[in-house]
Amino acid sequence: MTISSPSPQAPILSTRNLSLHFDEGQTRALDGVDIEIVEGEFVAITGPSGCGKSSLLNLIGTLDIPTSGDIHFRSRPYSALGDLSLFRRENIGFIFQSFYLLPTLSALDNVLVPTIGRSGDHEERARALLTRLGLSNRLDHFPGKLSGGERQRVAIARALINDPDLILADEPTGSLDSANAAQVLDLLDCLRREKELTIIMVTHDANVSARADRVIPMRDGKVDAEVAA
Amino acid sequence: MNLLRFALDNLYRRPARTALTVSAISLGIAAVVALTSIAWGFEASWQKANDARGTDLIVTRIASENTMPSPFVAEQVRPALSALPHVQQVVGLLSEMLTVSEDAPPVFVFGWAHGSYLWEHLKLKDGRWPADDGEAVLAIGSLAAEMLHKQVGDDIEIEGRLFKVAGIFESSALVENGALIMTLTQMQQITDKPGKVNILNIKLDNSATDADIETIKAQVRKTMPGFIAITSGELVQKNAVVRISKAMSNATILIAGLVGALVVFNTMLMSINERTREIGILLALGWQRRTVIKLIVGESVILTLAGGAIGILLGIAIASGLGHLELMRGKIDAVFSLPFLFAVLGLSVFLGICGGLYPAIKAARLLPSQALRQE
Repeated sequence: MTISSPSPQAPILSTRNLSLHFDEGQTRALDGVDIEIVEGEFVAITGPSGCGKSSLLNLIGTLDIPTSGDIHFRSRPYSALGDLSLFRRENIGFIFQSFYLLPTLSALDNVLVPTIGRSGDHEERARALLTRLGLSNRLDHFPGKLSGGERQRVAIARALINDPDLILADEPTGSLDSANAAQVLDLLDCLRREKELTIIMVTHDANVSARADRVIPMRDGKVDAEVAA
Repeated sequence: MNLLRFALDNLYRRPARTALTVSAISLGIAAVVALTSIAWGFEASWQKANDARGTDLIVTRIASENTMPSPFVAEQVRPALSALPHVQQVVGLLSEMLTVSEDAPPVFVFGWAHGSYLWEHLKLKDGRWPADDGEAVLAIGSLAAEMLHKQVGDDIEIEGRLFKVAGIFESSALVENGALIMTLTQMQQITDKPGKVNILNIKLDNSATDADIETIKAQVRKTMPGFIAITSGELVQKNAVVRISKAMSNATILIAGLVGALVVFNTMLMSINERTREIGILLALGWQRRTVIKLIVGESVILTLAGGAIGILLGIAIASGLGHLELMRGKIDAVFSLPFLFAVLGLSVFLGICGGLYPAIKAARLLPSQALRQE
């Protein structure tokens, strides 16, 4: 279910009045969020803990279902996509703060996990990606034997294995020291240009968000209009 | 990297749980295989003994449900049976399971009419057959001779009377190889059942057809109230021990099936609860729900396939081993049918699918965000 891009400056993604409520509306994680992300953009969503930035990323990544509102990917509403897991597999790559690598699989096998159930031989591509990310000598290493920076680079390779257009990164440098964090951010920026990716990154770190083309600040489940202005 | 390797890896990294589950399943399957093969072997052995004797029809009491049918006075029906068309011989048989040695388990003791066709299928290995009805001698099966440590010329005390071993024979039926055979008259004397038999064996002439057999059966039912004429196969089906052992093996199949399904269900449910976040990761990485279901059901099937295969081997070993125990020698001759063993393996895989399906659907229904939040 790959949805092709109509034009470089067209929005790849937009949300309309997006809300996510819990406890029968008592808790409003998101409350009427409208954002628009352009193809190839590197956007940082920032804000204090509990402001709804991760909830927004989860909804964009189809990991959660909104209470109301809709999200459009290249003008097609999510509600019309049908099989969201198929859409997710072919269009979105995830990078998590805790890496979420499977501990009993080697770096190479971890990268191949998203390809299970897909036809074709993906191993060469996985090897090439890991080599591109500087891990050619770590292919057979298990996550427990890799440094934090190396683990996140394996996770980045895994996010790219299905050749997505959109990368969603939730605090990708949150578990890294400053040197590794800078290296990962450099890599993401480089890959974005190389592969014409759109990146939406959640962070509460001002130094990290400074690397983005644009920052969407959030507060109390809404886009913080004052800061955004 | 494919789904099978991924499933195997998941089982490999939980060795204790995998081993326990496989053990539980294999024990259940082993019980099914051992009991069923013993039940079938028991049935086959009796059938073989009756078939080997060349008996065409057996007359017995209609309501008898014992291992050996209840004794009756042979002369009540023998003259009428002898007069039926195609009947060549009507031969009485009296049998009991008796203790003949303090060091050995009870054995079958048969009393066969002297000079009848029943003796003809036995192969004499040593000694001779009883000379006449009045001679207090025995012929003993080769297995019984081994179990009782007896040779030709030795004495065996039965019910307070001494019998000399006249001959040692070999039969194609295990039940006869482990038995002692004397003349019917001697057997009636020592068991205080003068003139009585458990069954009357009928041998028909060569011109008798299936239709003639059916006619004889109908005539017995009509003219001899309380008696029935049946084939040896039908007698075996009527045998209470055969019926009990079959009922036990069926009950075992049912119980082992239920326990097996619950074990798999429990294992997979526990495994899913422990791996909720991992399933969330897989869903986030774009795994389709049906791939998650395939993974979990696949893991259950691998567990039950391994448990089934080990269980079948264990069951065969148990059933074969029991036949060599001193207490069971000459009584168990387990029959292993390849189609049945495949059916058991199929049952095992079916348990895997049943036990794994609900946990699989439960896992696949998780919202990825919920699953990722799990500790």
